Amino acid sequence: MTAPRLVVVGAGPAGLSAAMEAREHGSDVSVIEENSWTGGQYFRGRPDSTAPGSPRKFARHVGDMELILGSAVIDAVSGRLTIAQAARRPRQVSYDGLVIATGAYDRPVAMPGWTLPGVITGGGAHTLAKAFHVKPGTRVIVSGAGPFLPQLASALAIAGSHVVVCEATGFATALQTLAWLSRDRAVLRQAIVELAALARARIRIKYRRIVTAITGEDRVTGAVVQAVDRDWRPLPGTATSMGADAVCLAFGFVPNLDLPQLLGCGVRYDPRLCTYSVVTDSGMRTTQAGIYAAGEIAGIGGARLAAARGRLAGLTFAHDAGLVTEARYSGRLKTIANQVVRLNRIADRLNQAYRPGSGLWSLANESTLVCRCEEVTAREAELALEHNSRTPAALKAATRAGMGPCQGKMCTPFLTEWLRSRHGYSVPADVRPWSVRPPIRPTRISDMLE
Amino acid sequence: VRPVEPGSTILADGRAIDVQSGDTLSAALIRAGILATRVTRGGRPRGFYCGMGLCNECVVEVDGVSSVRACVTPAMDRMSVKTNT
Repeated sequence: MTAPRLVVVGAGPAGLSAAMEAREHGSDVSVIEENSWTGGQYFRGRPDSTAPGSPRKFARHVGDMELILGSAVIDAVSGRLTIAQAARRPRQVSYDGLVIATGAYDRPVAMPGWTLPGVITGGGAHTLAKAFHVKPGTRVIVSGAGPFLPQLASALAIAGSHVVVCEATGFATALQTLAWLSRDRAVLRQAIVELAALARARIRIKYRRIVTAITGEDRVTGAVVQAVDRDWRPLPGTATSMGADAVCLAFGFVPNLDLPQLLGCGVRYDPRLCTYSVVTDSGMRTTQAGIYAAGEIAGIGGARLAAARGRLAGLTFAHDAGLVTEARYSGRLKTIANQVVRLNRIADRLNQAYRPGSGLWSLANESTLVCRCEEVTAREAELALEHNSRTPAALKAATRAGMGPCQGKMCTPFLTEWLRSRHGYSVPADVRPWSVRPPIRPTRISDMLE
Repeated sequence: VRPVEPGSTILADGRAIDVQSGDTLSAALIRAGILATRVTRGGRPRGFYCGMGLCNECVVEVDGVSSVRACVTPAMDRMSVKTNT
């Protein structure tokens, strides 16, 4: 009898942890990763890390399992994935169990000028600086919220940029969060290291400020920075123009839900996170039998939580497949579940402290593009809503918003909040999860016909 | 990512650009100051945005193949990149 086969999609902290855990219990494991490296976006900028779920931890296990790099899942049905590799014919991969660990990406925020070359996501800028020692600009304005900002700012400074940081929340939030987090030694140590790095680079954080517009003709030449209230609404009369050749927008992350949605996994809207995420039980089982969710797609919480959830998903699969004795399972479950509970508490606290304020959804003016791919302006979207019975589905059909090469990843998270906050829609009653259709990555037509 | 030899270059619209070991095309292009790499149907310039292969804003033509995402494509010696195609 052959061992049950677990396929893991995504080789970030969650996916690698799930793979290692399931392998340890005797499962046959394949890991599929779109990029040509393991570690995901998190460890891409931290190549020396030996944290849980890191490629360094994974290296010892790599000979025991199949690692399929440079391969994107483009379609999926229950029990079978279709993967495409550059310069090769697509192929089918079947599974007994599937762990989806497709991670998260920077929350898109539409504002005047956000499509100009030189406007880069926080995550994209961090990768440039840390993984490639490339500065996106000489004078860089970072606008966003949360604990990622200090990391990003010091990475940019080390890469050679002059950095200004605008944090949307107040100084009190930073102090309260730090005080609360200081119970966790590892978090406190990391915070001290980051604050010291900021001090060394002489970077000052401007609290309660956001970039409200980005200026430039063919590329970024500056930005308008404004003071904001508690709800991140710009205060009149506080606008200042600053010169810059790059602007980084870092307003948190949203889960990448294309594969779980394609497979019919239930998702729910979390009003605290302002995102949809995959519904799971306490063992990371989704609503679809044999499919488990690990990491950020089950709710944003950072790399340590992602790794812990990955281990939990791997363990649950091993248990469901009959690979673990009850005694071993309950012992291991206790250890991992305790970690998940503890890390969940930290994630909840951070998510609450840095929850996007409603002012963020009102920066777009009439001519601001809400869909980058299909170049749909806010005005066009509003007209489509007026003329088409006010449904998001009609908005998509009338304007093509969400139908371009990014498949809605760069517009639907924003549109959901914009419809809710600016136009009085309720989520999820009116704004349901946006539909996902294959192929979920750009694919050659010849490959589609296979 | 396959490491390239020291002294490797790519051609960006005919101009030779140095490439460092482990570079993606985006890393090499941005190091050389090239941020705008695509023009939309509406005639507007775009460039590197998400940096992780999702937004498709950084697509360029590489050795005659169009719509290649520069941010997830390893740079290799003597690759020929065309922007704004």
